[in-house]
Amino acid sequence: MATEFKLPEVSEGVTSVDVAEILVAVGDTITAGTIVCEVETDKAVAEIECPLAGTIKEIRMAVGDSVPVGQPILLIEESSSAATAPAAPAKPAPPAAAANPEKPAAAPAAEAPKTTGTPQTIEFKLPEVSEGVATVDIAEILVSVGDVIAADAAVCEVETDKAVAEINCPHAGTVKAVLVKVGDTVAVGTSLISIETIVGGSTPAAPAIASPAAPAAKAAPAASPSAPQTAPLAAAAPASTGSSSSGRPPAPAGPATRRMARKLGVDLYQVKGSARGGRILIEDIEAYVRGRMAAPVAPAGGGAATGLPTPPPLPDFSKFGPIVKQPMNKLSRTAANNLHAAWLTIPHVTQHNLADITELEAARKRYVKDNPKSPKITMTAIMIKAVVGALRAFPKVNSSIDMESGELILKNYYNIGVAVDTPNGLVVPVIRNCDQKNVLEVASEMTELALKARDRKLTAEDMQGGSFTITNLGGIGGTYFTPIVNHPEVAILGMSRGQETLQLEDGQVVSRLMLPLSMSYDHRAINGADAARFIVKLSSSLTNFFELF
Amino acid sequence: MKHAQLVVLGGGPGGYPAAFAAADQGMQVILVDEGTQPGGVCLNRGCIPSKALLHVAKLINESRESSEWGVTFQPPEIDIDKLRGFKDKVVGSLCGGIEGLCKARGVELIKARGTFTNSTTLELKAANGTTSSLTFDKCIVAIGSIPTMPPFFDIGDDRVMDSTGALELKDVPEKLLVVGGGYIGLEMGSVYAALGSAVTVVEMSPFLLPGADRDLVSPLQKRLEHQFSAIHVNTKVAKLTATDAGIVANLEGEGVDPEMTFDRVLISIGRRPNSRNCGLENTKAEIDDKGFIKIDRNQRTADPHLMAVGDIAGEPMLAHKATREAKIAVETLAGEPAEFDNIAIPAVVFTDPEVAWCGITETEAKAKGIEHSTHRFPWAASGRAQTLGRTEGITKIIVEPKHQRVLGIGMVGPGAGEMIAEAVIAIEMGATARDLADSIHAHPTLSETVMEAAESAFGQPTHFFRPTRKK
Repeated sequence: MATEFKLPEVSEGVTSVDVAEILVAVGDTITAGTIVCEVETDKAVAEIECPLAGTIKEIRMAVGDSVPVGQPILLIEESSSAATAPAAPAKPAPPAAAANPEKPAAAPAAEAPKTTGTPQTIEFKLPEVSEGVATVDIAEILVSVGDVIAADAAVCEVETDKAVAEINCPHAGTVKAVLVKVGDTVAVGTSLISIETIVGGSTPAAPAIASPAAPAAKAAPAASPSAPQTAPLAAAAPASTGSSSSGRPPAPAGPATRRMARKLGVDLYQVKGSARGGRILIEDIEAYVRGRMAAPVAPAGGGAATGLPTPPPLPDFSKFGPIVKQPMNKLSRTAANNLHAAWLTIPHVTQHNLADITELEAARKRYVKDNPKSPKITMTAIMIKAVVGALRAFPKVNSSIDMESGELILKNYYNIGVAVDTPNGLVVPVIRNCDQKNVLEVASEMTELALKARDRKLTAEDMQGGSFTITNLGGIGGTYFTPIVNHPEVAILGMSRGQETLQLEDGQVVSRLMLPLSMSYDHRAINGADAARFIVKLSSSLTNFFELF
Repeated sequence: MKHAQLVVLGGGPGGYPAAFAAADQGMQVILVDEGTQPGGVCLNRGCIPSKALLHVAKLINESRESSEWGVTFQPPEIDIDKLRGFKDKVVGSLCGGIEGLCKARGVELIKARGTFTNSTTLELKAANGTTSSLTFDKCIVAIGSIPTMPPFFDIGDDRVMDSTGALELKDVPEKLLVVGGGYIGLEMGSVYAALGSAVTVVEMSPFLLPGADRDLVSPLQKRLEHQFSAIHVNTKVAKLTATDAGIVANLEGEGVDPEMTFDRVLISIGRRPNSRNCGLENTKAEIDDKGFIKIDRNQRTADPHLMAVGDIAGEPMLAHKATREAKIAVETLAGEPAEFDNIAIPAVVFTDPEVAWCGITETEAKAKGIEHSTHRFPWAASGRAQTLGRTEGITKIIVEPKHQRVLGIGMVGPGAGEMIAEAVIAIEMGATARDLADSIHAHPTLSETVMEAAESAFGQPTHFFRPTRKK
């Protein structure tokens, strides 16, 4: 039996109310005492409880309606007398909060919203890629508008300081817009794509009926990517300082503060606001800039305000001949910053030596020839094992120096980084625990990492935790070079090309294959004698290579 | 051949502020405008004349409504010529003011239509047909927009008008059809309804004022339903035919008379940028598929000699956005750290009640999945609204939940257009709800509703009580 539920008296003297929110939907099963709607009087919002239990057949009010007391607002199919029990399982009642304020649920008859679901447009934002990484470069976009993607599909590849990572979108649906382009530097939280997903009928948003666009509320006009810099009348204004166009919410700062940030080239997102709710004041920018000026060394990835004399500005090279400007990718920029920081902070000394690898190389070649299926043993792989032996003998070479605490941090692990030249720049994947691996295992892991490096598939973890680095230019040529220590390590070994050299041995001239080695080290951590001992020990272990096994 | 350091093309609310600001910076500026008097659409056939008429409409309506308070006036006698005269006088005085300001600042005003022949040259054609050339180092393009009039409606009968025609106020038609339920249609519909026309509004989409939150439109719609003879949403005008009896409109929509005759028809379905027939193709400026000139955040176009501001440079097509862009363009030229970094562009619909909003709308926040909470304060709880006999208003505030930073504010009610200024400042300054709530608002004013809505974001406002929902 269907019963009408009439609007009860809300408060004394109130004859009609405005419906503010409807908290139930047709088909919901309610128990006695369920709050079915909120109504507004002149003075207050009141909740209307329905004393009946049963299934809602019709909703006879809409949000915004003025309803007089006594007017029927619901038609309820009452459940049989004992009926506070929940409804039949076939039709689960959506939660009460599902009432949709956008959509006056007035049309009772032909409603079947619960099974169809509502398409909803979601902006998928850049999640945290790896700890401490605030911005990434978009390396590749893997979807395009109109693509239907499954949950967890990869939508783009991004480059961090250290690695290329795939970004997977947890939402399934149709790609409506791609909001970034290759080469963009974007912050964590930036919207990457907007995607229309199908979600359950209980979702509150109702974009299906939402108006086409909210014209006036958009903060910025579409900026043209192709717009050039104007020259003569004006200097180009410095780039973004935390307004909304980048997809990030606006930084909490007033227009004058934003303008000052632009003038000083300050990224407002880096400034901590001191006012209520984190609002950034002009004073906060001043303090931030003072802090930057006083900072001893640019943080990796920073580069401004080092306190060091800056080189004079670059001339206009195009005056002298044709030029092409090539943007550096994130990897190159980061490498440049890190190398610069290492060069500035580490007092470098480079120790050279020649190692006799005649027998070792012969044995290596023999092994490679006889074992075509085994991982390819390279001189670098052997060198890793040799370095581990030498590091064990000279623990200071396997350390980091902490100038603040005045401590040398000795490492009881042997993670050897190997510099790999890729088309995108220099990367240093790390082979972990080399003391616990034999040369075959090291060789196979190296091959794998080198391939990943070339395919830009290295993860940040692949490149963390090194304690010593090897860089091998032997494949290219040259005799000696002075590599730069890979901070915070304290030494790096450079290998050049092995050369047949005439040597005197027991008064006889013999031809020996000699490998030029160059070890740069941090003189704060390692003194010259120890460095020489290290490289001599290393060289002799390559000559008398049974020590390696 | 004449040369200027800076030419501003277009003398509307984008163009003339740009010319003035540039002159104030010491640039040598020529302002080129094709109208008989500068001021653009805003002054001549937009914001200003419509507001003059809306003010009169409000007066007429209030004189009718006051009988409920015991003050009864005779029905007004309307002298349409005198009314038109008032409107024209307002327009004339403001436009004359601009000419005066040009002189005071040393901006040379050339009344001619300018067409680009290349990136640094305009061909000028004066009203008398004489042509000349003008070269420049830089040009700020501020050539605005015009009402959209599909050929389909353009039946060559002046009883079918656009907003310009409606503002001319040739007569008060007995029956007026307004095609398009956007702000222009509703504003002009309100004027004609007050003057005595039976106004029918037809809107293709399901809502009036698409873009505004529904809860803010609802009180306006209720009032307009009384003032207009009909509002049909989800309804299309299939055909207009001119007959001696009037313009016959064929309408398609549920429950709508399929054929109705009107004395006049106002087409107010939108505006489009004036990027055609002005020689932009002879420059390097790029035009998007909607006809807007593409710009960056400093108003620079793809042509290094050209900047663009106002309606020609993109949505929203609003005078105040144009003026802000003008300042940015000039500051950019002067090498100052300007940028269009505005967060809130206010939108105001000058109907009665007025609807105004800025920052994010609730609809937009939901659609974009932006974390937010919305807090409404009904004007029925405002003392000032009660004294005005206008309690249908709502002020609502949309905040970010963590710090209650204000993301958007919307309001409907008399005077909302003036009150939105506080909201814009709050949003641009990064204010939190408590910043608004803790600032003293004069009593008794409608602005208190902003304070009380803000109080709702973190507590209870004084004059309204909303129980926290029981779970």
